[in-house]
Amino acid sequence: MFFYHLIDGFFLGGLYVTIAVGLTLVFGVMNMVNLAQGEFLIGAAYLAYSVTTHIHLDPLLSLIIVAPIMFVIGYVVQRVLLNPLIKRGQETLLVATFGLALVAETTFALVYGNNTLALNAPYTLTGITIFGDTVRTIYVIAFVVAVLMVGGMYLILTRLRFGKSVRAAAEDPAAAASVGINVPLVYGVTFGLAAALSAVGGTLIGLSYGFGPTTGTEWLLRSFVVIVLGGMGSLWGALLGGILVGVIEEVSASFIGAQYRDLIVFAFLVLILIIRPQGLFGRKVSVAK
Amino acid sequence: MTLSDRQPEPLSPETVEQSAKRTWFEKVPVLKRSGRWIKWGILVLLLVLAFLGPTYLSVFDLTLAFTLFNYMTLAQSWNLLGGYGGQFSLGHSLFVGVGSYTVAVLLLHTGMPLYLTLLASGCLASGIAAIAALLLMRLREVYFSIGSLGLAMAALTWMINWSYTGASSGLSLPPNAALDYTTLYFLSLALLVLTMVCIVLLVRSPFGLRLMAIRDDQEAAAELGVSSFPVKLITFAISAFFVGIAGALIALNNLSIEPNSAFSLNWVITMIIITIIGGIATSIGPLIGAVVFFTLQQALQGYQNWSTLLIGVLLILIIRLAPDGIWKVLIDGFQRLTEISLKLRPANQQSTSQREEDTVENIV
Repeated sequence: MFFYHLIDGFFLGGLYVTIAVGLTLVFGVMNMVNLAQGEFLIGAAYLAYSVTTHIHLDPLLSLIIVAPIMFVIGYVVQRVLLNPLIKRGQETLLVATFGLALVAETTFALVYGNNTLALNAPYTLTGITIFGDTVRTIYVIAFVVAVLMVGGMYLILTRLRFGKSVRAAAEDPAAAASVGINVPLVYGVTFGLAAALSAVGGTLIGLSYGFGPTTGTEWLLRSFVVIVLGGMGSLWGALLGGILVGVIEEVSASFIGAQYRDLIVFAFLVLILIIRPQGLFGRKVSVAK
Repeated sequence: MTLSDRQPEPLSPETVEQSAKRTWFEKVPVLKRSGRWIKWGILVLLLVLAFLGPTYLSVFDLTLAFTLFNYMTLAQSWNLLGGYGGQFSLGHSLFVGVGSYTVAVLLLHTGMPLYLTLLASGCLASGIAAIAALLLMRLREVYFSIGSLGLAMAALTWMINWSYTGASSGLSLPPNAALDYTTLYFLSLALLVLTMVCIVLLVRSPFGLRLMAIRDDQEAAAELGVSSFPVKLITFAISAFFVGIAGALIALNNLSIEPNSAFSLNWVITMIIITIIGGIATSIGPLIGAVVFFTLQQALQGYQNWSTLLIGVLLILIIRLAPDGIWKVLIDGFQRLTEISLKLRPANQQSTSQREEDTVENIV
């Protein structure tokens, strides 16, 4: 039984990775926490819902349309709203993204109503047997996607010229600007990229759970746990953190009781912050006194 | 690292002395003698109006005022930690819930008099804040925000499962705990006045200076011998104390509590919105913000989504265009008006030329 929970958690963790990659990318590059991350996820799920109902595409294929839209939204939000605020520090950005989350949440409710929606596909209710344990197919898909996302981002950041400018801008914006890197452009594209990655996570949420206008907050909190454990701003940390959170959640819920799931996750978040605030892979920044 | 660049302009010793003694409008001759009296006059008038409230307000208005006063108290308490202290807490809903549940449990299981239970709920919230501070206060900036949020969410999920407090269905207060509207009104007003006086005095005391020094630059403050940990801990505890009592009053008004509303994230969201809209790290800002927020909420009562949308847009506009909030905009506007109206008189040129050196915060 324990082994089965381990496998369940492992693949559930894949889903957590997909929702957290956007958040960790934004924190790593811009040193800002995007409190509207949950709304980016849910917004993408709503978009995918609209696309699938209108042109009957498979939800995952609809990402071809949804992800570019999310990229543009992310880019515009960063350039118009957030970029001018970066110099004023983290609290200002918290408030701005928080206002964005409020606006997005109510927009969803006004456009789509307060009902819980879900994305449908032939594989949402099926399972795959792995080592004798039946795992939801969508979790396996999410896991594969998660590995592809993190690996792809790693290649982009290390191999491409653009990736090198992103890392330079993350390391030292002033120095990057002085060698001719257009830092606001890099920030904008990174934020857009994070939004597009969140579109993948959001669609997977829509396929595996229901979503409503206010569910974004729950996923934001899950993403926080993942990236705090992995180390905020670390890509590989997000991958490992997501899997670990999934496993810990599944296994401890089977011991203590499923109703304590959220309690375990949030207590775990506080615990990590107290014991090792920089996470497993975090850069040694001054997070603590 | 704070919401706006609060570094004061470099001043020469003489001007420091002058501007410390005089607020800007006292330099305008017309207002010079009367300025301080106008300020106190308005304050006394507002207080008298508030304390005479029940004589001219309807029962419905009294309940509205109760909510408004509670919003003001909550926002001002958050402002002490988040604004003056620079510790952007996302976990303050925890203390609303603690206050609500403490008063309910004490009234249900003990024969403690009501006013003592109110005090107890404040103290318990304060104690929990002190413990939380021991754990979280070594975290900085967003790490503290996320940590406090995690703590509040952990508490919420714990309360949903704790059978002693009725788990997810919550508790109902005993029938004899029901207070009439006038008493609730006065309790909320008294709490607001107490909170305002304490916080205004606190931030103007040496303790407040230490707190703001830590906010602006913790390392520099440490160099000067200001130890940040106890200051942050005490501030957190004081802030939670008032929030806890406000939570208790809210429970006394609702008469039944359940975890999803008592520990709801909406409380801290409301506190932040009100403080930012009104003006963070100002003593009057949260009051103005509460009036704006509450008016919007009431005016669009039947259209909750629209009012939230409007508040969200307002929040974004404020943070983008006027990050010091409505209070600062009002002050600047009033200052400019007085200048324009006095500009024609040559005798006042000296006073207008000095205005750059004045700090507006001195006004109240």
